[in-house]
This record gives sequence, C-alpha cells and structure tokens, in this order.
Amino acid sequence: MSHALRVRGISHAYGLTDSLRGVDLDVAPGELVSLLGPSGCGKSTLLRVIAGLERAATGTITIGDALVDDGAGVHVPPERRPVGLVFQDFALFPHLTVADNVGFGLPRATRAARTHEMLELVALSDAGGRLPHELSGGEQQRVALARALAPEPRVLLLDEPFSGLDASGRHRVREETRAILRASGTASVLVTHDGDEAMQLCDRLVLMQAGAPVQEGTPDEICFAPATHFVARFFGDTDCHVAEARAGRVVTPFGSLATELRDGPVDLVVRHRALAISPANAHDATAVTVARTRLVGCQRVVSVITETPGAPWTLLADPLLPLARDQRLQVVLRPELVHIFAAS
Amino acid sequence: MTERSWSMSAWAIAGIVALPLITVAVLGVSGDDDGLWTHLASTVLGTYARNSVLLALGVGIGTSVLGISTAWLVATCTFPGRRLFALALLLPMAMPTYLMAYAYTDLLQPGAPLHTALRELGVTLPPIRSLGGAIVTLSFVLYPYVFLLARAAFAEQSAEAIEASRTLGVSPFATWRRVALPLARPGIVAGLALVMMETLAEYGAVEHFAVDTFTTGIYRAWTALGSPHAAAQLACVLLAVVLALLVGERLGRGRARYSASARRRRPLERWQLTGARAWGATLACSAPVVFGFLVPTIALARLAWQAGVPRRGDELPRLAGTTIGLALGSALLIVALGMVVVFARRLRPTRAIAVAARLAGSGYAVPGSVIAVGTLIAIGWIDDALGTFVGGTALVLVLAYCARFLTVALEALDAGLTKVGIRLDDAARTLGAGPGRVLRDVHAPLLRGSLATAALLVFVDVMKELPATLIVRPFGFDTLAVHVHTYASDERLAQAALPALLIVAIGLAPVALLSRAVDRSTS
Repeated sequence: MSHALRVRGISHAYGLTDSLRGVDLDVAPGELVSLLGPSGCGKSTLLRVIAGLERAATGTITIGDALVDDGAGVHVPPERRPVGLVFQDFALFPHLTVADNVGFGLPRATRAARTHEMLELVALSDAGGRLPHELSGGEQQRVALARALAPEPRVLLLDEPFSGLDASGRHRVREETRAILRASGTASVLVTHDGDEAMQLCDRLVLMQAGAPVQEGTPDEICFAPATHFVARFFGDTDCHVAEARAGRVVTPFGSLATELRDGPVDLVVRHRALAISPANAHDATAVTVARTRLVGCQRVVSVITETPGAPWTLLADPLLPLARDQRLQVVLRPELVHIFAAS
Repeated sequence: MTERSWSMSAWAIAGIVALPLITVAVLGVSGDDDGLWTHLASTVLGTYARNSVLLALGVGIGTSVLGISTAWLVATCTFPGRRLFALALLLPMAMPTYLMAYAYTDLLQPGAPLHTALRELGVTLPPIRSLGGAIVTLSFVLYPYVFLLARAAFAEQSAEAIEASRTLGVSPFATWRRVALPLARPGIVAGLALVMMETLAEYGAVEHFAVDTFTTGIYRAWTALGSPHAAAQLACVLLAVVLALLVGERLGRGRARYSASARRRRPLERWQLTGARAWGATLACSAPVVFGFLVPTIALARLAWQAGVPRRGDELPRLAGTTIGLALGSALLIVALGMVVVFARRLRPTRAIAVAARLAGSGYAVPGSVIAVGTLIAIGWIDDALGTFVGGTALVLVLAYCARFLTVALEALDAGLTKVGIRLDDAARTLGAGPGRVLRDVHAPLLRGSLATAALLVFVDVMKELPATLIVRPFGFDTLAVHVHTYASDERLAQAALPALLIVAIGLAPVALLSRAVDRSTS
C-alpha cells in the first residue's frame, strides 16, 4: 500500500453550481500536502467530501486500503472513516474540558492514557481540566489538533486552521503545528488560501481553481514554473504586460526573452523581484525613470517607466536607498522571474 | 439509528400533525351530509363569517393601538416606571382569554357591584356580552404579541436612520411616522399575525359572550348537531381564512429585511420625557396591565375569597393532579418528538426533511377546535379499521396536543440549536460518533436550557388549552380549564375561582422566562 489517501475523479455540486469537477489527489503516508486556492475554488468542499460530511456525485475515495466513497452505492458515514478534521473555528465542544475534548473520539479503555499522551505532545499537560473558552487562540488550536490526532487517523485534514488566529502569533503556531504533524507522522491535507502558509508547512502544493486542480508540485516547481497565468499570479505581487512572440523570442524594454510559444500576442507575468537595480554603466542594463515611490511594510516599492511606451513596471528597492521622482536608474530583468503565457 | 431512520421518524411525526388536517380537508370537501351544509350555509354561515372577521379586525386594531404605543414608549423613551413596564406589560399573557371573559362578565353584568357603582356615577357601559366586549377583552390580553415584536423592532433601530431624517429637515413626529414606524413594520405585522391567529382560534371567551364565530360553530356542529361532516366543513372554511391570513402576513412583510445589516450600529438615544408627558406615558403603559391582568386577577381572587377555603373532599387536588399529569406527560412527549424532528433536519438538511419539519410546525396556526375534530375523526376511522379503542382514551387528547403544540417545542429547540455551531456535529462525526452519540453527548448537554424552556412552554399551553380539550376529552375527564369553563357557563364562577387563579399562576412561569430573556436582551 503506497497511499494514505487516494481520490479519483471526484465531482460535487451545491444545487446547480459545480463545486468540484473531477478532482484527483494522492497523499503518501507521512506526507504534508496543501490544497491551495482562492475562496470558492472548492478546496474546503473537497476536504468535507473526503471526511464524508458531503457526498460526492461521482468518483472514488480510498483511505488506506478501504474504499469509503464510490459516488454511488458506497458512502461510509464520517464516523467510520479513519480521518481527523481540524476546523477553521476549531469546533471544540464548549461543555467539555480540554481532556474530554481530546478523549471524545477514543474508546473508553485507552482514553485516559492516550489523552495524556496527546496533551503532552501538544504541550498542554497542565490544561486538561480547563474549558475551551479559558484558553488562548493558539492553545485552542493545539487542543483541536490533539483531538483530531488522538484516534490515530490515517489522514488528518486541516481546514484553514490558522485563519482564526491573530496575525502576530500565526507564524509561531504554524511552526508548532508543523513539528507536531512531523512528530505524529500522519499524512495531512491542509486547506488554505494563503500561499506563504502552504509553503511554510507543506512538502507539496496542489493549486485549485474553479473546482479542479490546475497544478501540483513542490513549492519551487510552482513558484518557478507556473503552469498558468493564474498560478503565476497567485504567489506574491506581479505586474502584467502585453507583448508579442515572434520566432521564439519576446521583445521587452529590457531585452528579448526566449519562449516556446507560437507567434502571437502574449502576457508577461513579472514578479516584482524580477527587476533589479544594477550599478551604473553595467553593459546589459536599461535606463528607466522613477515615476513614483512608496514605502510598503519596510520595502520601497518603485514604479518606473521605460523609454518605450507602455505601462509602468514595479521593482523593490532597498528601503534606505534615497530615490526621488524623475530620477534615472539602471535596471536589469531576471528572466527566471518572468513567466510568459499565450494571451488569454 | 442511521441517518435514514432519523428522517423517517421526522416524517412519521409530521404525520401526526398532517393527519387531522388531511382528515378535515377530505371530509370537508367530500359531499353533503343530508343537506345540513346547505342549511348551515343559508342560516348561520354568514353570521359566523361576519363575527369572525369583525372580531379579528377589531382585535387587530385594538392590539395595534395598545401594543405599538407601549412598545414605542418602552423602547425609545424614558419616563417613571419604564423598566418595570418593560416586564409588567407582559403579564396579561398569563391571563387566558376565557378567564378574561368570565372575570369581566362577573364584574360588569347587570347587578354586579362594579356595574351598580358605575351606574350610580351616571356611567352606563355598553353590554359586556357582545362583539364589542369580546374585542376589548381580547385586545387587552393579546396585545403583548404586538408589544414584544414591535418593542424589539423599535429597539434595534439605529440612531443613524433617525438622525438622517432629522438632518433632512423632517420633524420628530414626521420622522416617527415616515422612518421609525415603517422600519418596525415587519415586527408589527408578525405580531399582528399571531394575534389574529389566536383570535380566530379563540373559543372560550366568544362562547361566553354569545358571539357566534367559526370556532363555536364547529363545536356546536360536533356536539349539538352530532355531525362530523358539518364540523369538518366549517373547519375547512376557517382553515382557508387562516391560510389567507398567513399569505397576508407574507405580503405585509413584503421584501422588507430591515434588520439584515450585521454592522454594529449606534443605539438610539432615548427621548427624555418630562412633566405631563412623562406621567402620560406612565398612565398609557399602566392601562393595559391594569385591565389585562390586575382587574381580572383581583376579581377572581375576590370570588375565591368569598367562596372560602376549599372543604375536605373538594375536587381541586384531583383536578390539579389530572391537569398537571396530562400537561407534563404531553410536554415531555412533545419535546422529545420535537427534538427528533429538529435533529433529523440538522443531520441531513434535504428539501424533503425541510417539508416534514414545516408540516410538523404548522399546527399552531390551526385552531384547536379544528385539530380536535380532525384528530377525533381520523382516530375514529383508524379504530374502526383496526378494531382498537384509542378514541375513548386520554391518548387521543395527547395526540391532539402534539399536533397543535409541536410548533412551540420546535421553535424553542430550533432557537437553541442554531446557537450550537454545525461544526460541532462535524467534529463529533469525524471523531467517530454516530448520530445517536452526537445527540446524547453534544446536543443534549448544550441544549439543556432550550429543552427546559420548550417543555415549560408546551406544559403551560396544554394546561390552558380549552376548545381541543373540550371536544376530545374522554367522558368524565376534566382538566382545570374544562372545570372552570363548565362552572362559568353555569354562572357559578365563584366555585371555580380558585382553579382559575391556579391557571393564571402557572401561566406566569413562561411570562417570567420571557421577561428574563427580554431583560437580558435590553441590558
């Protein structure tokens, strides 16, 4: 058995709107996979279908060796699937103590021992007798994690588990979560709309759009070889420029770039990091004029215009670098951070 | 139990409510019974229709005047006693309409002390036993429905809307008429719909005042004429009126969803009433409490005092025992059934279950007499077919109560369950808990308060219910309400004053509950 979770051709609809259209997904034991996409792309629905909280219209789901859904006769109810689910709002039982929450899904015989073990894993051994509302957001998140992991699920599903937390503590909680998931060795699927979060936590990302995956791969693959315009624009700030492909080259104000696209109009998706200020008189640099500068979160964001007519380009500069409007700069374009797609 | 068996149970429960309605409809439209219907149509039907419509309209106007004015004063002004009135104005809810009729008849009929005293002062009141008397007495106990919903509607209005109107050059009174009142309209209409439903279902008071309406007609057709056919036909007409009313309420609300904004708004600054205006407000709020609760309560207490301490062998303990046993048993059963329906819908919110839940919750709109007639006929058919004898037992009474009061339980439980996040169910399910365990370990402990509230509300409604009990009860089976009704009809109210007071006292429990909720929502 080589998969903890295997999803094949899953479709699902809310009323008349398709929410999932033929999704495939494989997760290996111990692997951390992120389902990533804008809200409404179907990622949370996929998680609920895997958990058995929604019924798929077509397709099969296998968890470990067990077929749990075939879109027709077989639909194992959620309580009999070896999955754990961590909810966006944690969904802790407000009337139960932390220990009772963690022990909820455990058989009576092993409940006390396993609960103790799980509370230790999430560093909440002293909080067992407290009620959920007495804990901080980060602690509640750890209780939710411990509760979902306690019955030793084959797959742990996490639905935007950090979005309920303050921005300040989020980074630390993510690191703790990553450590706990690694320690438990459970295959996990994390749903998020935050690219940074997915990259920080997961080995593999699956980008979804309009109910279907558009690309999957390691963070590097997705960042440096985006399959579509949508994927390229999903991570971080980009500019979009129109250009022409001719005989395998695309001409830009900063020189021409190689492309495999056929001749015709193309879109350039340019990361803000693609343009870099170079020392004056560098041989491959191009002269531009500063149109506007502004400080955004301790980064100097600079709009520049080229001598050829067209939309301004954005670059990120050292915040200490003194820059004024109409100042002339020499810049170079790094082609690895420019993605070329046939015009849509 | 699997999800499927939960939804089947929900449908079976909806069937208890649907059965009397279907029976009445089938019998009501299935031909004539020896020309009795033609006879009724040519003689009394016009009177029934006229009285029922006039009564509903009159009580609608009366409760609007009392309810909207007091609601606005309590919600948006300050005057002496305002906080007290916010609660006291609910007291008349504890006074069943039939006790109002009995008490005021006792006070105001020719020869009664108050009547004589007024006459010596040169005041001659029109006769209390009339359509006018029925409209006034019903208005004084039914206005709290309008008051409650209008008060909430006024209280949640934002200062911005009122201030916007004032800065556009509109006077305070015109602002009230053009902004505040229309904004409160959905609440007022909802309250009025409840009032009209109660009025159309009313039996005890109109019967005592000799105002012939559909409900008294149904009772007479059933008992005096002994004709299930005629009773069912009258019930059909009454149902059509209620249906028209419900449609009217929908239209009256229109597309209005004025309170939909989730944004936190600045609450209204209260009008500081001073001097004569302040005392006028106090007086205006006192009147409904005095006439709708204090006067009839004191009248009953005086009668009870005159009758003296119950002698040994008095039937009050036995009556109270029967009534409390019946109401308690029905309340527990109805809450349990309600929980099944609410849970089944939560488990799988399909359209089919939504329909079942709707059906299960439709009984409160149906007058008690209609449910009674429908249940008895249906059980009669079933008894005939199966050779059983349910029709002559208290069980059929419990079935009728289920049909009528399931709504009350459903609403209380629904209100509680919506506060329990659906994610908790999902969490429990993914942790290996089946539906039964979700209900036992998650919902039941979290819904303790709602379950108790639902049981209390149903208990009091069953205890007070008169027409359904009168029609359905097995021979010789008396409740407090029936006992009081029997004595009052015999003009021997004094001997039933103590049980009547007991009904009022028990009826105060849900009022206290309600006032606590109101108090919490305002502070």
